[in-house]
Amino acid sequence: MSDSMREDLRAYYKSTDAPVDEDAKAHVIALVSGQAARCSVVGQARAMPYWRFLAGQLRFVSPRAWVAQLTLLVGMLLLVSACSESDATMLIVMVASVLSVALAVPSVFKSFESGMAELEAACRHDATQVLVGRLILFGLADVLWMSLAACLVPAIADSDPFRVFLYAATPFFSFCAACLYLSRITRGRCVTACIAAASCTVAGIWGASTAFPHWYSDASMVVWSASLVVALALALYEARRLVAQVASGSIFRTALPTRG
Amino acid sequence: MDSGDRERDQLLDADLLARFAEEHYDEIFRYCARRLPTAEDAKDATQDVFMRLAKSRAVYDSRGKPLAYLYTCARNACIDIMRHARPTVALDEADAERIPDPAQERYQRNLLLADALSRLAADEREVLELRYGQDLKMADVAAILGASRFALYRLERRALDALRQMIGDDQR
Repeated sequence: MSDSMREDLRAYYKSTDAPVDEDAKAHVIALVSGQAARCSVVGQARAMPYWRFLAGQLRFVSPRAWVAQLTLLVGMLLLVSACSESDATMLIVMVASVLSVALAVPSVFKSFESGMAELEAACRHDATQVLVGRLILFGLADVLWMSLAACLVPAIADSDPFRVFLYAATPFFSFCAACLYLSRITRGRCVTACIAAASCTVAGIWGASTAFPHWYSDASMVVWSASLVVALALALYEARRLVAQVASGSIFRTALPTRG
Repeated sequence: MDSGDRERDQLLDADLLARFAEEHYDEIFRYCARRLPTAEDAKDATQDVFMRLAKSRAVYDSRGKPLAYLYTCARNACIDIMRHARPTVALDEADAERIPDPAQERYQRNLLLADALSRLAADEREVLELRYGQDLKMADVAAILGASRFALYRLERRALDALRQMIGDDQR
């Protein structure tokens, strides 16, 4: 029965197909060939290596984003040094790692928020490369951020460096996965959603520490390590799905009216 | 890269794009024609789609999905044209000759299907159109719509069940 419905649908669509105008088709093919010959996209793209394109993306990231990241790092170190209780320092590290992702979101997804992403898709270096480029830039900055945190916080708060790294990296990658997921479902317009999620996450971390003091230090290193692996895998999965969605162009989808 | 290499690349680009356009023109035109009020609008939208494709790198990038990009451009082109839709014109004799004989059973069945399809949700209708109207595999539909195959298979099943119910109800 389901096969007959499928056959009926195929027959319906086939019978209602509009006839193709061969002259219009030949005209479009000629236009496309001419456009390709004019642009010579492949030749031009080979002239700029990817590292230079990546460095060029720095121009489009506002200096305020870097200042905010630096301010967050300095603020975290100052708070850690001011807190004598080591458990509070770990909470500060976790909250700061979540905020470092939230601070990067407006710059990474700027193209989609301002409606420029489709324009980038038509340019020499497409929307996929722009998104991946910005993810790489902020990823490198955050690797530096977490390395500094893992080196300096233990020195200030007299704690285990590996534990500091786990407390920073696990919420960081978890929140990255959340932001990438929000970006997918909101078709790139996710700054508001990510800021709201960051607020809830920070409130959740502090609330949990009030309700269940030392919940994070009570969990074993094995549990934290496993959580980090899961968070990293989720972040990579969501990044792959988002990049695939941008590459296919489906992130630009809007409501589509159809004929009656 | 010397001028000979550049010229060869230009010829390869033009040839690749021309073959791609020739291979996919018909399906994109049919897709646009279902969404737009006139054949002229569909031709304009189709031309717009392939010109956008020619200006992007979607065809050259082997990691990308040019077919999904093509359909997304087609949808956006149709939206742009619908926003500036011209008033429809009266049928002329050439159009009248294409109207099938109402007595044919297939025509009645198509009317029922058209009515039932119009009552489906937009996402259900879109999946059915891409699967059975454009004859695409579910993997391609998933790439176009940015959804998982699992979710789309469920959507398709739901849509087919709804159609069966509506048409079954009408025939009682």
